[in-house]
Amino acid sequence: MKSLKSRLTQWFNHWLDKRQPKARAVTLTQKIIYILPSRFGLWYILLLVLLYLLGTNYQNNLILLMSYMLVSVLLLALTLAWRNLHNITVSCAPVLSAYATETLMVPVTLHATTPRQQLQCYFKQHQQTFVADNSQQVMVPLVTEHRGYFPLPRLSVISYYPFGLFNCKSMLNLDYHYWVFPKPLATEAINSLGENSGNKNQLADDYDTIRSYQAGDSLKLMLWKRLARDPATPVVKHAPTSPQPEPDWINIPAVSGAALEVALSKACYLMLQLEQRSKPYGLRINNKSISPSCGQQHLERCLREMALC
Amino acid sequence: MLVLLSRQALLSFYAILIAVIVLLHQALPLWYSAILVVLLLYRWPLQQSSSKVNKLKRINIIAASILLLLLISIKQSGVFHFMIQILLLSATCRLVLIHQRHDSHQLLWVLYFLLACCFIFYQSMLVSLLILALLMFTLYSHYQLYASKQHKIQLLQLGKAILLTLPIWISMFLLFPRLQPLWRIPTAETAVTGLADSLDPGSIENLVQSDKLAFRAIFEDSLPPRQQLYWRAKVYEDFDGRSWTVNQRFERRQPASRQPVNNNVERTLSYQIIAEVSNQRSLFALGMPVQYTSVVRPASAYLVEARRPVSQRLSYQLTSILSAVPEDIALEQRLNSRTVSANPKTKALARELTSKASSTAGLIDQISEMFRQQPYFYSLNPPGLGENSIDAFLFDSRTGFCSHYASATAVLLREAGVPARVVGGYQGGVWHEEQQYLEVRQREAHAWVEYYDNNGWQRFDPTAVIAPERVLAGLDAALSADEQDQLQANWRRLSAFNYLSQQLLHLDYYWSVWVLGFDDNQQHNLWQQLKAAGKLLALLGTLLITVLILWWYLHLQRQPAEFAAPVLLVRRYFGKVLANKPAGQHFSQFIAELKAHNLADANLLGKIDMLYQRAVYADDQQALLQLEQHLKQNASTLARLNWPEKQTSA
Repeated sequence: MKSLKSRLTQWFNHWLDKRQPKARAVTLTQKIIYILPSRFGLWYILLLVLLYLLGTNYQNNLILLMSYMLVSVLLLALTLAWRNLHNITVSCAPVLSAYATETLMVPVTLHATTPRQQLQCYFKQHQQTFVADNSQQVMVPLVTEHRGYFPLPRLSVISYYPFGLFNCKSMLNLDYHYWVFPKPLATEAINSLGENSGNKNQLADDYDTIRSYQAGDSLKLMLWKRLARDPATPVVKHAPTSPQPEPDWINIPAVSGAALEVALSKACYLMLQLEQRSKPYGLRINNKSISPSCGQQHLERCLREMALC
Repeated sequence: MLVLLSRQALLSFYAILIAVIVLLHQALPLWYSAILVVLLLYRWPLQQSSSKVNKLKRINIIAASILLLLLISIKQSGVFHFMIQILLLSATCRLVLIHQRHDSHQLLWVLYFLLACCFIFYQSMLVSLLILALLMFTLYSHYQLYASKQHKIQLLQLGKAILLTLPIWISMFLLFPRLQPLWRIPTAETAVTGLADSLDPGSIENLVQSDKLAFRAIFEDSLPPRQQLYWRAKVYEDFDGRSWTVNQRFERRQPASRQPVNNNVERTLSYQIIAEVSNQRSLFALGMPVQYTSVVRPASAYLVEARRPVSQRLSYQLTSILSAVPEDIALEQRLNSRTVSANPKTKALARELTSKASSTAGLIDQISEMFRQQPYFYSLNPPGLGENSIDAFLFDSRTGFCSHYASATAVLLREAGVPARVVGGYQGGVWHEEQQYLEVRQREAHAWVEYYDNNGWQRFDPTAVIAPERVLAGLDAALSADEQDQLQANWRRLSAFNYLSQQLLHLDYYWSVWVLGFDDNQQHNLWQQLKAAGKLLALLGTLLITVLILWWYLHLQRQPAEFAAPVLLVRRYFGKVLANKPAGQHFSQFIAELKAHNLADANLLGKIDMLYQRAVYADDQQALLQLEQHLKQNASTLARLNWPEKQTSA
């Protein structure tokens, strides 16, 4: 039974893929818009049948007229529902990342030339979001579970416009990936270390000399006023009294399973603390090492390495 | 998905439901309407209360107790009204409780159904349009539920939507097959209007005071003379000395089809009748009907009756022979010769008249003569009559309305041994020349006599003897000015009002004929006509499709071209040589290469390149025109341009 169900979903996914191959931006065309009557739509159709029977039984033309009118409204709703979704171009922001078990807000862009009504987007059924009427951007929540590098799941764009009679839906396979970094886990040891490095950093507050900018220097130390005058040679504040702090090496022990996860989580916390204090740090992981440095790019690189290990 | 209902949506639901309650008041006892309104007020002032669960419980208890009350009174109201009451109850309880958009689905469903039920009670044009407007408003509120808040319906869009739906709607109405009624529908018990089953000396006078429409008639050919327009509705055969009643045999069903006695001799008359609501079965026919539509069936004494009491406007088609009605059953003569012991003076008079007359026709002449010679008067307000009403009328008051004369004549004839009965119905009507229909109101109610002679029931109208104007020109002509005033309601005297109401009545007439009267017969005819016009329709269809394709093509043409104009120009004139240009290469580079191979045309190519750059990148219209000119002038040169690979291959 279960295998049948999974096979059906697999077949369905395959079928969807065939209709809409992965792409960075997808324009909703007739081929990938699926319109099904909603539950209310089915009740409405029952109403039409009942009214027709009432009209014929009472031989009352006015009731018949009304039932036919509601039929034409149903058909109108069908076309309007289709037009509401048709020709929308859906894309999303390229780099997406979150820490595990966090909710990743995926910025989805719905671009359409004419205004659309009451669109909803979701990755999972129970977390729908409405698209605000005057903006084309929507943040769609995506709950992350494990660290890693994943393809974006199918994005459903759905609308019940105009009468709630039809469920007009498109399930898009967007060609994006997102990073899930290990979840930061606060520990005592790291806290004390953090305080220490904090003291060191506070010492560095009274900089008195400057030196030329080197790749990896924190932007916080940049002398902006000088940069405006002489953009060719950027300089940063430099504290000669305290020597360049010793780089911290973050080591991931060669363990596996739950122990690895905990180690990664702790390392992640430490790394974030160090980054916050602009202290250089390096990463040793699986015989691989990333030489000590500082800055957003470096952090990203290390986190990615940890996500994948 | 949680979407709360806006206050505006709630208010519009309130308005719709209250309108529906008002429209359906006929189906609701007064106490019940009051309960519904109180229940609706329960939610005032439309705020969301915190104790939602409590509220639900409370409403459920209230609804259950009301349901119990309804069940107790189901005998009085009937099944159909009971259904409406329950639907209204559920709608009201729902409306009191709803908070979310999702909850309004059931409410909308019930509202649509109730709006359709309104049409069972009202079919006149004005109220129907009102209900239709209410339906539109419901649809609008429904639409608003699922539309963006800032969104305003634009007229253009609305027009497009209507343009899209209207043809579907109308063609479905005209062409979608109709079923025969599937089951007997419960009918509500309501007040009966029109002629009653018994005819007292005063009943027709009361009926005549009413200005209400009884029915309309449309004739296939021309209007028959007024003297022929005796619309038979009821035959009264039982006389108790004072009033006439309908015999029990009329309750029995008649065989569905009756063979006309001799069909080809007499002139037949076909006509359509649109009967107003009367809540009784009896319908109206002229003379002897021979062909019926399916909604009506023959009744005893060649009357016509509906299959159900007429609770909504009914349209039917008849063909009649304007001749004396033949004998229906063998017993009929005996039945109509019965006399009662009352009215001794009339008996004596009948004996006297019989002795003078040699035949039945002679007797009729004698009676007419009597009414004409002696001081008999025609009046809307005859004095009251005693126990022996016929005696009192014939010998004392001598003043009466049609029912008095008909009743007295029938009694006289029966006493003289001639089978006779009183027929109730309508006489004449108001003919509307422009609209080509006859309007028959309750004031045209009339009673006359049928006596058996020459193998048929001959018609004799004593009123025509006393007041011939009544038959020839209508009731107003036969009455005194005071009596005419009595008949007219105050507002009818204003001529502008009168005119307006008459125009409305005409509109209502077209409404009945075209909308209410459209039945499966007419639908069948329409299908036949469509089939006959098949070729023409196919032609029209192809024409329409061609026009659509043309329009589509033009529409496509208007769309921005894939390439800019200069690119297209260059593509056209450079021809095959351009095929050698690699996809990523710039046009200038290509021209430079070309120049190297075609030194003779280097000048021309340089000029073209310069114009091309200006036209493409600077949007220079002048340059574009010059480019086109140059290309056109040197088309032959450009076609002969050399390309090295070609030469090597050649």
